[in-house]
Amino acid sequence: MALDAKSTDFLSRHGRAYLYVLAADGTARGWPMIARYHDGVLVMTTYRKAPKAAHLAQAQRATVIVTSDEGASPFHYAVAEGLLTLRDITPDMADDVTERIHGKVNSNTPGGAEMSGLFRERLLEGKRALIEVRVETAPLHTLEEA
Amino acid sequence: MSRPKPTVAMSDAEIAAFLSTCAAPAAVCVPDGKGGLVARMARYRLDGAPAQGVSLALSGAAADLPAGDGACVLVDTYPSYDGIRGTMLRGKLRVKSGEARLDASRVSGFDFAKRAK
Repeated sequence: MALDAKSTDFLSRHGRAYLYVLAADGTARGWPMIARYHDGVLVMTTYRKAPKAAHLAQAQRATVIVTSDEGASPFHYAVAEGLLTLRDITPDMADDVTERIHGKVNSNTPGGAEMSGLFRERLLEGKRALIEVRVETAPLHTLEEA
Repeated sequence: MSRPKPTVAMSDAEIAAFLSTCAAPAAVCVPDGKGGLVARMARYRLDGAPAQGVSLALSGAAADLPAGDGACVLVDTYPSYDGIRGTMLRGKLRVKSGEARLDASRVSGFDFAKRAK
């Protein structure tokens, strides 16, 4: 399903997110995350042993709120929904996942290479899992002023 | 012998202080009863102790949040990695004329600044 250009643009430019799934007991479970939108997919990572991993492993779909930067006014957000997958990050995936999360780092990005390198090192420890939500819909909303 | 990992969990008093001062809106998610979820951002108000829940303004897109059990409300701030703080409240969402009330059955909080202590 094609997303409209406004939603795609918003998801591409913002990373603060709240990941929600429907748990096996029928309740909503959610966690604040940093998400990157890449080729139609919201990409996130977590520790495999994190409590959220068990909930994510049993869920087949996810709802992700992606918001404007903290304190932005007006404050916009997109509610993305789609198929969820969770898989271990193996060493051979480290470069690809790093690029999807941090983008192609160039010499003009202050601290970019260092941050990207630290992230890649963490992935190589073999303790992290990749969360992917293939976005089907992502309507944009604006939070009304208080 | 390894040292125990520092906990990032907030105390009840710390959660109350955080929710009283955090200007960020809340992320609210409720099961729709049909196997899906409805998620919106909403302004919140802390009327008493966090264990009693929060009130949510259901204006704009949040007006279609349904009442229901199993709701999850998140409030967090991310000024820097070590400055990450947040709370999670779960419980029953009651909806009445433009406002909702989350009756919390479970409240927790985290403060990444505690990682280094």
